[in-house]
Amino acid sequence: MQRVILLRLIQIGPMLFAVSIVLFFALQLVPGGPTAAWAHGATTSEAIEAIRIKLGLDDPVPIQYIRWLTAALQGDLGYSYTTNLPVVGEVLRHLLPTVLLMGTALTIIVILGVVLGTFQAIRQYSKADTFVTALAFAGASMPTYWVAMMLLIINAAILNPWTGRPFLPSGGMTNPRGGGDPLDIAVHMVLPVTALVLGWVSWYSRYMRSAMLDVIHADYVRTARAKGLPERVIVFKHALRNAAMPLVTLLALDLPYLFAGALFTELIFGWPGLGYYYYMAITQRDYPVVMGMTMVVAVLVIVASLIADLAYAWLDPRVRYGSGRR
Amino acid sequence: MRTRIRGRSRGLSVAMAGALTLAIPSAGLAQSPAPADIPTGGTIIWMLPAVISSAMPYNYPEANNQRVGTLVNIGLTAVDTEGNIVPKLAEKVPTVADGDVSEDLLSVTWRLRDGLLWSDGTPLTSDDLRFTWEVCGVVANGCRQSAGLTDIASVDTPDDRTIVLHYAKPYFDYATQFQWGILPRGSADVGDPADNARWAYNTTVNPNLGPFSIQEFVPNDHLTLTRNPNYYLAAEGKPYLDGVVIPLRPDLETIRRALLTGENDLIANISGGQAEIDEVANAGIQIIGGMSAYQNQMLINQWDPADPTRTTPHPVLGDASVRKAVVLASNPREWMGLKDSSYYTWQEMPYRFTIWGAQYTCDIEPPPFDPEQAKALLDDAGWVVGSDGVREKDGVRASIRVGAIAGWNETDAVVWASQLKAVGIDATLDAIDNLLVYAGYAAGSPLYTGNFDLMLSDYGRDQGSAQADVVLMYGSDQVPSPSNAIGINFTGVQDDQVDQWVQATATETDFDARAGLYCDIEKRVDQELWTERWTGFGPGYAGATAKLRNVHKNELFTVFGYGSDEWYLEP
Repeated sequence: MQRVILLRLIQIGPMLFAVSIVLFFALQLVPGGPTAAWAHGATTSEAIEAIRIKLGLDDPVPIQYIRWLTAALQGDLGYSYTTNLPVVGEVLRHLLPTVLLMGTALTIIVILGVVLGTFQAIRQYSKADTFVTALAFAGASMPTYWVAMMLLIINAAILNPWTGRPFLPSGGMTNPRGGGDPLDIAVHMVLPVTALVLGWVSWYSRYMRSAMLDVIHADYVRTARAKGLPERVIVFKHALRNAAMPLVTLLALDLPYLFAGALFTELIFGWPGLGYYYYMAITQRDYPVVMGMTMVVAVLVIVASLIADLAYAWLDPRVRYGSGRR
Repeated sequence: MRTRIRGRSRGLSVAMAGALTLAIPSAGLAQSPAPADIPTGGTIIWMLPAVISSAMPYNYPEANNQRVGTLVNIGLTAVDTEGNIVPKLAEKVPTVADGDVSEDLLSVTWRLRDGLLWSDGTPLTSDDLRFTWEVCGVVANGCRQSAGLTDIASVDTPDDRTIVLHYAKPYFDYATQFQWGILPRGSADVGDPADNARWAYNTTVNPNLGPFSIQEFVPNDHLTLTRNPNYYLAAEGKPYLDGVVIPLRPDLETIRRALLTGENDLIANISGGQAEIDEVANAGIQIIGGMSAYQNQMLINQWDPADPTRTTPHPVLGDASVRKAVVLASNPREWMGLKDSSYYTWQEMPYRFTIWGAQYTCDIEPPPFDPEQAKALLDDAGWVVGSDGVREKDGVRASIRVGAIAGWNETDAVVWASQLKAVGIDATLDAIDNLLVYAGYAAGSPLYTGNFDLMLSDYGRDQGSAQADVVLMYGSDQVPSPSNAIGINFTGVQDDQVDQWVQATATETDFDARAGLYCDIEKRVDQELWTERWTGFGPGYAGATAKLRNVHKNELFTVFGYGSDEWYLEP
């Protein structure tokens, strides 16, 4: 196992190198380039050229790439073209709100997905199962950005009779009139978390239901029942652990979102996370930020998939990497 | 380029203001109480939909940055909401009659008011004006807004309150030189002028001169502004508000919703159409209608889009009859952005040069909307309607692209295209990335490289001048090219008569005579060469919570945020 982990870690370097090359050169193909955002056409050609020299954009692209790579290897992802602040610091500043939002949402999604999926599996074809299935399909059919907009509209329509205002804030992370305490942040999280949960929980519950159905009809579960074990023990101790395997895959695939942020949700609710930051960087042709963010996400995707593989091995002792035998 | 416009007929402006007041009794244009009655204090929330990266007065990347900058910066003069140039930090606006400006316009003397202080209590001196010139008077330093400053050859500062600017060539808009602000030489946040793009001052603006100072600036998140105790009108109790908090939200609809829910007090532009504006009005929020900063402009390319040198005629629009037919077949009033609403009455723009209002407004009748005449013109020119309704001539189909700015005026362009189809011109939408539209020649902007047929452009007020507009837009030597990236003669006007007039404007120091030349050029380009059509300013709608008073919107003349020292909250 250690050998596999070591091998996977060694693979990270070349993979990131390949990603960085493709991305860096792909960015050069974007029409306009960084000076488009800088100049908005109003600046003289001399001034634009001065900016290009200051930003090092007058050098050949391979030279620019080597310069970026050399700095990146030393932990320096450059400076944002729009804010002139170090990209590393900016990424870290936006990371916490995203982890807070997405961590909360994913936690709720997983818990609800497991509970609903398990409930549906053990009550297969009941009215409750049918009802939850219908809800799940409805949830899966609604794009998150649409759910987010609907939540905003509904929120604006339901007014607190004492204040004449909606019960929940429509955006941001804190109250601009003075806030920032945990309760204030929690209140601001309600709508974006709800939007994310409504969009995602259906997938988790469907996976869980399907996996649980497979497991509870397996021989070892039948054996457990024959031994007279209580249903609670059968479900939660024996079936759930095995049924959770597909969920681990799903979770591992979704882990990068935990860091990259749910772009639409953060935009619509003005949540100052990485998704929001990434969007702004793209629209402003802020290449250092786009490069830095993408590399951070690439690292996280690779690490997340490694974690998923390790989790498989932990959850299912039959899975043994690198031995060549099962 | 998509900077804003100022200037138009003052008479029209006043008429519009009157109409607005009638239409919206509760709007900010209502009469203000006497200063003694004005309540002071309070903080408002003003959400903005943008990345605010610089409030340095000569480095505004776009309009929202400038709006913030208007709250923290103030210059020697300003253009007020009626289009008048009024003194601010200057004792008065210099004039030739007073002897402050030389007859040849090459020397201008400014005198600061007495006792002016930066927000940190240090005195403002003429040396700070000199420093501003040292930073932004050098082209290579890359200041975004440097009109006029780069024309100054030298300055004298005979005393702490006086500065004499010596221009290398007449700068006709000298009266608004330093209108955006002044840079403090003594600030710890400024540094090498050549590196001004990375100054900490861009986000701290410390010290500053405007009504509010930046207390906190968190990029991509919010700004907190508080009253500047040393504001030059502090003795009058201004600014009336204690502060302004500016949360940054990328989505316009989110901001509009926040206005409805009371989380936001002010919005510079209400997103959406009539229904969204009505919804805001019905929630008891003031709708403040006014001219937007953008003048719509139909650009008609007479040159082959595949030929960036603009020497090969356009296969369709190279025919002047087709260009004229395009203009006659177009009805800008039908475009969504120009339709009347209950908050604003759109009027056809009298031909302009807008920059300084009434002085430069031309008395030229707009072309009529006459599709029948357009059809007749096309028939006479040999463009025959084919079986599919599209005209052809010598095997060339009258098939063209209508360019529009993605996310901005695509809907208008679609309506325009449908009007052209009605006369047999096959027009299809070509939405262009908003950053690319004005990105310059090297970046491959379609306008600069000439790779467009028709373009629904919006020309905004530059911090430049009417004179710069005329030269750069119509001089035959100002067709954008690799060697001339500053020219904005997008339609490739190459006309001897126009060139003669353009050259004459460069030395004509008499305002009336120069205005006459501007109008001659405009008439020739718009109604003889038929390569453009100015259509008018679209309306813009700000929204403000009912208690927030004295908010004005007329972005034709002023940046939204102008007059923030007079904003106040009713108890």
